[in-house]
Amino acid sequence: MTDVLGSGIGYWGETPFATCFMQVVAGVARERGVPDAVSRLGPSWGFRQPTADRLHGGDRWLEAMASITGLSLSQFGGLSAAETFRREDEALERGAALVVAVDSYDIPSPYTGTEHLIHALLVIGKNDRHVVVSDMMNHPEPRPMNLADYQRSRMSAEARGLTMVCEKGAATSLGEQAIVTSFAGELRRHRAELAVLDGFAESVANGDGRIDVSEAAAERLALSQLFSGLSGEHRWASSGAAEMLDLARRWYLLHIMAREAARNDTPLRPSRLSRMLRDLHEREAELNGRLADQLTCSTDIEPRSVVTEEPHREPSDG
Amino acid sequence: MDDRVLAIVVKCTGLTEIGPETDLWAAGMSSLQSVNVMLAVETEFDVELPESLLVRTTFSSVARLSAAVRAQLSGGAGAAS
Repeated sequence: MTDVLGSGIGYWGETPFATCFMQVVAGVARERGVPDAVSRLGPSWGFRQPTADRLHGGDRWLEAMASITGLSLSQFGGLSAAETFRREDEALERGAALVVAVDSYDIPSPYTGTEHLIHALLVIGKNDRHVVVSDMMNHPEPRPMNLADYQRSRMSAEARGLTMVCEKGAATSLGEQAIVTSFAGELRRHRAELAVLDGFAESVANGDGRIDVSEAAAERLALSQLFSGLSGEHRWASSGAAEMLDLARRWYLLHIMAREAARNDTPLRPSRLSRMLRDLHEREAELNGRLADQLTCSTDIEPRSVVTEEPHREPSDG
Repeated sequence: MDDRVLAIVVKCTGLTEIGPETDLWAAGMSSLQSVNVMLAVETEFDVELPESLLVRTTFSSVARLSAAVRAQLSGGAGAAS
């Protein structure tokens, strides 16, 4: 029931909801010299609420990945079509890899013509008539896409011109201690951002039962893979990976329950969503506390510098 | 109870050669199908399975799922609020 994931984010083939950008960026990073790129997606752990019905993670995985791999990674989105495509062209001219958002509705995929979902493609080349793209999930072989269709899908309500750029240049890994230090910062941010989860749980209680928490789930999946990639020197990492994977599964379970119920036109009761979110809040806070304690015991990070306040616990709702 | 749950499982999974004790995971039920089984069972019996029961074992057979539903209907331990 809770193993709604496969083995994680792969380089090719199907990938869990909201991990398609991670999948493609990992593929690019591997080509740039990061052999274990799937375990270098982040670290980012937190919460952000971009819209009333969506809960994201901390959304810092790309910049964190840049800091621990030495790759020059950046993103832009929400710009005008002219500005979006001007930046795209400039990036391609200087040899950068482009990972772009399109609408799955518009491309050969399980959702063609049926469902609007953001999806990531790698741009291989571009001229005034076609864009050559690789879809690692559905069709890895490079294929041309009509320029007008490409541009329309790029600026769709789902994609909004979102673009991730990996500049030319090889990776220069900073080593595992940099990852651990970076994650210690995420522990603090996560603790502070639990308030966002509180607010979301409260707001969905008055909503229509339709929510999307796939981005939060994906971030935790990436974290579990990051922990798995750390060496045995970090003794907390192995159990941390398992616990983070369990958390990712709970988030995916909630996401798929909400998604399937809405597709069946019987959305989950808001009170139930809120209860499940409060349960997840408790799990998140407890894991934060455990990881903070384990990090202080196994690293030279000053005790209690990771967590500066007592865990917030929601009262049980029975 | 078992018959109604069995009918739901058959409808949501397409598995036909199953009985109350059949291991549904071994028979080929996917995680996505199990979510739809859960949603359909909750609608059919007007119950909500609590978080503690949203685990693989609850959905491993029609008999186990029926028992979980029965426990909720009777207000047993772990009932949803």
